[in-house]
Amino acid sequence: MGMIEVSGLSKTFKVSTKEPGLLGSIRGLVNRKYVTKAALQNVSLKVQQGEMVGLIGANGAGKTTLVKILAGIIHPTEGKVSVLGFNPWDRNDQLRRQMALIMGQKAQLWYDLPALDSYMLLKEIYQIPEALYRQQIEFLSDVLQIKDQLKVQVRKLSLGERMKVELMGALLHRPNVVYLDEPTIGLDLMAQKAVRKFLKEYQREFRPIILLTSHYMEDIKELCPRVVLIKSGGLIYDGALTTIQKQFGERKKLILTLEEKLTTLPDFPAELGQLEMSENKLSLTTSRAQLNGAMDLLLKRYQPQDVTIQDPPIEEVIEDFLQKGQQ
Amino acid sequence: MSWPVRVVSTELRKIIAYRSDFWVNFLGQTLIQLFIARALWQSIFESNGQTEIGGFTLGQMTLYYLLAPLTMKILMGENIGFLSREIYDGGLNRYLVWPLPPLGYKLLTYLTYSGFYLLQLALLYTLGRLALDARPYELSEFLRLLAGVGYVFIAAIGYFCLMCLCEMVAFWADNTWTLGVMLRFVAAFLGGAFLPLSFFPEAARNIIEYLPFAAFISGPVNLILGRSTPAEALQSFAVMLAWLPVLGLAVKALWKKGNLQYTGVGM
Repeated sequence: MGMIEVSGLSKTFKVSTKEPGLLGSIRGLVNRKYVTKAALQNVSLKVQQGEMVGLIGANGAGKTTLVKILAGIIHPTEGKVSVLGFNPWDRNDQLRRQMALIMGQKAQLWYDLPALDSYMLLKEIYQIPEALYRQQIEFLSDVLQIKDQLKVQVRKLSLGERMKVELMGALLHRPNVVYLDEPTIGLDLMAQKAVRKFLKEYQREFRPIILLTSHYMEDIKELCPRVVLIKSGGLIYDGALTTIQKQFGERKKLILTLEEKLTTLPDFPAELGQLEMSENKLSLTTSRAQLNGAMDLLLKRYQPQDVTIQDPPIEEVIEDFLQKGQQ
Repeated sequence: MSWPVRVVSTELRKIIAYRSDFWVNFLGQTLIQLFIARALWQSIFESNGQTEIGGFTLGQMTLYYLLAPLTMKILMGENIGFLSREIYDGGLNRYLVWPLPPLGYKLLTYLTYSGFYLLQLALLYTLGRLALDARPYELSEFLRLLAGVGYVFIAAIGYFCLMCLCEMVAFWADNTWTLGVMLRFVAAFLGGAFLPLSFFPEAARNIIEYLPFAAFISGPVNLILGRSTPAEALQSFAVMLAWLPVLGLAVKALWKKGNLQYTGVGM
């Protein structure tokens, strides 16, 4: 069974620095200073065929570096990587024929030509049999609802349409490993939804390995049952998305719906949490440990029509988690 | 259809994607250059009161200045700076994930542009020759033109290697646009695009004939114009051929080293 195996992967970059201002620039001409930046530190993970994994981390955490190493674009400083049994930076054609890389911020197709012209070239590059090529064009353009745009110059398409034709081009050869770097960046909500729907369908139909990096939590929530959290180049969590919420969602939100509209915020001990009001609702954000005590106190004062306890949004949990760097 | 053929076909479609740009590129630019060269040399010939300068009549000189920039255009192929720019902005990533040799792909796209400009050269030279030189057009001239075109095509591979060597410095220095411009200037100057090499001092000519630059412009242009003997043309072509494996090996070594430095930024 095909899979990705990464063990003890590290990558450092030597980056030049310069003092700000004109004087700094002039000094930089003669005496340039360099710092060594650890983009990845001792990362190990395994991904099985058919899995869809979300890579999450702040900007500069090392997600894209990991993707670039897995795609064979850059060489690691240390560690071992095997993608479908190949070392990716050997750039073996057999592996590259089974792999696709889609970068939300980088166009792969030729701007001055209609997408179909680029696809014809990709067909030859990936040696896609005629029947499969036709089948893929039919299937992908249908699911992405982009049939009418395939003969229009790529530069004349909207951002969402461009992303769709890019996705189509990258998946024409039906890859077994797909790296998606910010596939929904800059797209409007409708286009984001369409891309997510397509990726779900594609995953269900062909079961490739998909590694996805995105800053939109909606992408991750909808598509990736498993997530890998990266902070400062190190892997700090690898597991189910729901587990993060259950295990590390330390805060809870208690909402009381009252009969009457409130005019002033009642006194409440700050150590028990933060109280807010809106119309006839009182909401308290508190820690899991203090939830019972805080609820008792509020229920002694009010007789609510309804009481709801919510987990905080996953975005907040992950943000907390990344800030604390919990192991 | 194999991928190299499809690459050529795709690049040709890119060349002709914009109608007005195509015609300006195909005719306009060359006609302006030709007009300026003709006017300049006409006034030089008139002020000197001579019918021949450096072994060139006015018609031949005009033809030389028609051929030299067209040959330079063939050498330039696709826009200069393509590789360093892609190293700089991460555009190279696309070629690294495709199952084909990236530099092979680059060479093919370059040669497609060169091939297109070769056609332009053959056509415009034939028209220019008929218009500017009163002598009858003979079969031997046509054969020289064909040989010259083949010569330029091989020389273009040499120029591509030199250009790659300059551009690949971007793996270490990020932005190396100026190096490409310098190469273009040096190749044009030592190749004889600004002034025929016969105008250079003999000592300089003796050195230049062992460098690849003479084969870029002066060698094929003199062959087409019938200003060099077959032996002379063959000698400059042999020098070019001798340089090709050296340049090819240097490109291969630098590419391998440079790839270790590549960060794929901009992704």
